[in-house]
Amino acid sequence: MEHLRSHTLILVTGKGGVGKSTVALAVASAAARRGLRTIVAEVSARNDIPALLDVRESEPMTERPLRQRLTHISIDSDGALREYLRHEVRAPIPAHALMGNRAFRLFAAAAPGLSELLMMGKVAELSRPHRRASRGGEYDLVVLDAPSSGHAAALFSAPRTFAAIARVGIVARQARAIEDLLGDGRAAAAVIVADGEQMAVTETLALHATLTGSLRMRVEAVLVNRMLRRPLLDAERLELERLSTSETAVCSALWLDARARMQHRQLARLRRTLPRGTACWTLPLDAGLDMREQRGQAIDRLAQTLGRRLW
Amino acid sequence: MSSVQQEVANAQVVVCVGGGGVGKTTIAATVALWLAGSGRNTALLTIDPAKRLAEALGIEEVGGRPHEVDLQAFRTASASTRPVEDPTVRIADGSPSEPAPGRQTPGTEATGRQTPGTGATGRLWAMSLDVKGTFDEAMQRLAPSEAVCERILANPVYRALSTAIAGSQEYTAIAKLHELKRDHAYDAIVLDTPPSRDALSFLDAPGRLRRFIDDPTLRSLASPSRRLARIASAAAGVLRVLTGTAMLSELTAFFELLLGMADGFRERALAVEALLRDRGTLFLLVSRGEAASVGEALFLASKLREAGIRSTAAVVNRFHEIDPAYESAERTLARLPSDMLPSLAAKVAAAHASVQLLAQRDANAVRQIEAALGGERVACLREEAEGFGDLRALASACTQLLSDPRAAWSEWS
Repeated sequence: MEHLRSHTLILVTGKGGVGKSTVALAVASAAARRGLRTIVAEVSARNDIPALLDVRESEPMTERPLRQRLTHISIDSDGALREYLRHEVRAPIPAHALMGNRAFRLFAAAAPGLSELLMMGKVAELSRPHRRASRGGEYDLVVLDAPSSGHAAALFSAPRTFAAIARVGIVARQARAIEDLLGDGRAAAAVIVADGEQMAVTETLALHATLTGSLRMRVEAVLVNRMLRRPLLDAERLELERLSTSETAVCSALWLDARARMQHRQLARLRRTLPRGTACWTLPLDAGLDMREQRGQAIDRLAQTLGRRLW
Repeated sequence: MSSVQQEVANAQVVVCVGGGGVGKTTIAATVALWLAGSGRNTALLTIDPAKRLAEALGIEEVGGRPHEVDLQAFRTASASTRPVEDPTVRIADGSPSEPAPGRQTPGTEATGRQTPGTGATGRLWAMSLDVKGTFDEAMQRLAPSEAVCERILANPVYRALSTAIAGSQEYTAIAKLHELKRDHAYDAIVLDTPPSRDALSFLDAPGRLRRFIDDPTLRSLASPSRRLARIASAAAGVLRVLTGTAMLSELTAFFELLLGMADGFRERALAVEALLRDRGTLFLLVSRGEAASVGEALFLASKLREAGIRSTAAVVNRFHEIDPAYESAERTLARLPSDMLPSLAAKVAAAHASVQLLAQRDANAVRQIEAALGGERVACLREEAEGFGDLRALASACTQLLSDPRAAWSEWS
């Protein structure tokens, strides 16, 4: 996957509950290990990534170092608006005065797509080369831990929708610039995370169509998470079934095998239905990710696997 | 009856909350089926059900309108599941049932056959949430006149807001709940909720709406002469830059229209707040063993506590049972038939060890959630290999979930 080397923005999305945040962190870690100055970003005031590393939440809108070359930021809509007013708009009154005006805030919150546009604008700003030092550090890569499917589509399409409604003016121009960035497959790519469940696969197929269709985004890969390896060969399964025993261990093995087979059927459905040539990789179920003491190592393992795939 | 069973049996409204991907919709359907089976006329409101589930309930065509579920099919399906442990749960039609072939995990053997004969069962209506439709319906009820209603439905700000995903699903679910409670004679309502991280946004939606409607800033916009004076002209200038002149006037028009409906909104918001806080409303937290969903469940539990809501219980879904006899893979090997090929035996032992790892994780999840809720208010639903897509599977879930869920547990813990 050499072309990922030129990318400045990776957007990680997928159905809720499949392990998106963990994957986003692992992708960002892998990039950091490869020498890329990386920032992993969350929007809508979500602040889940620090918990994965067992540290406290980040202050909103603050670039907070996690590890070497790895930084985190939690972006909220008020904060994005405030920054935008401060840095991008020539207003006769200062940003804090505007934000202090309730009517202003009410209108800004109600304007359709504006919050999403401003948050995506902040994400785009982070990926700009040669940022002014006053705005923050320079990053080679921004990894966005995007909201789950439906919300993500709304977030990514906000620049377009907004540009269509607002039509003229500086904001409309900037909206189009963000839209162009998202559509530039050499600079920005999405990674869709799924698991081996029917609903996740169905949602992934729909999301892939939306992202590559009306949004004209590049989908780098689909990652199917929490996959089990089949513990038994078919002949072995038949033999155990023939035993017809209530021995717990045998029941476990049969159950695990049935589960793995079900997942693999869904994986096959996914591969069959995705457009030909779409990269579709599996990530193993790792119980370590759910145990506080082991999570750090488990994330490192995941980062190594992903690093090999993506770069 | 178990604690969770009691909570559900005593509730008039059951609200299923939890993070994404935990199986809230399946649990909501299971609870609704159980309530109907125990004699109550029940309504089930689902959000975005899986196709198989929607088919099983017969609601895949109908969208926002309630459709009566064929419980006979469900009863027939129930009759072929494992024997019910609790004789007070009358779901099947009384014929003795056979154990499912093959699997029998220790501790869950039938303790007795189910009592034949029965009480009358109730009826079940199911519907899936139609976000856009409900918003428009709400506007239609609240608008003081047809003309106002048309203007608001045509307003681009309204159109955009009513189809925006974030936020409107929460409001719509609540609005529908309010309507169901007020307009129909259901004995029980089960509400599935959007996978909202922030339970407060769901609980608090009526409050936020009320505060928004009553905001003095909003009211001052109603007066045409002072309309934009309230917004300092510099701020108005910036708004124009941000949104364009056309949007600014649409926004103003939107808020004016909304103000015209303020009383209706407020009354509804108050009614829903009262309903959510009522003792007869049970909040059922749904989680899985994965750390992320436990984290969300604990977060929700603390929010519910802060809101003063005591009527709570939880379900840990996709649950793996601990094998009390498990010590290590080596010991497991010793229990296997001696004529089993060593390679196969090793695989069986390894598989069992993997499952026990998951079981430990799940046991830990249950402990944490119990500590957060206080008392034994957590039920566990065992993971099925194939999931709960069809009626037979739902019947099995029903039996499993609302029979004494701790029977297997308490012996070992």
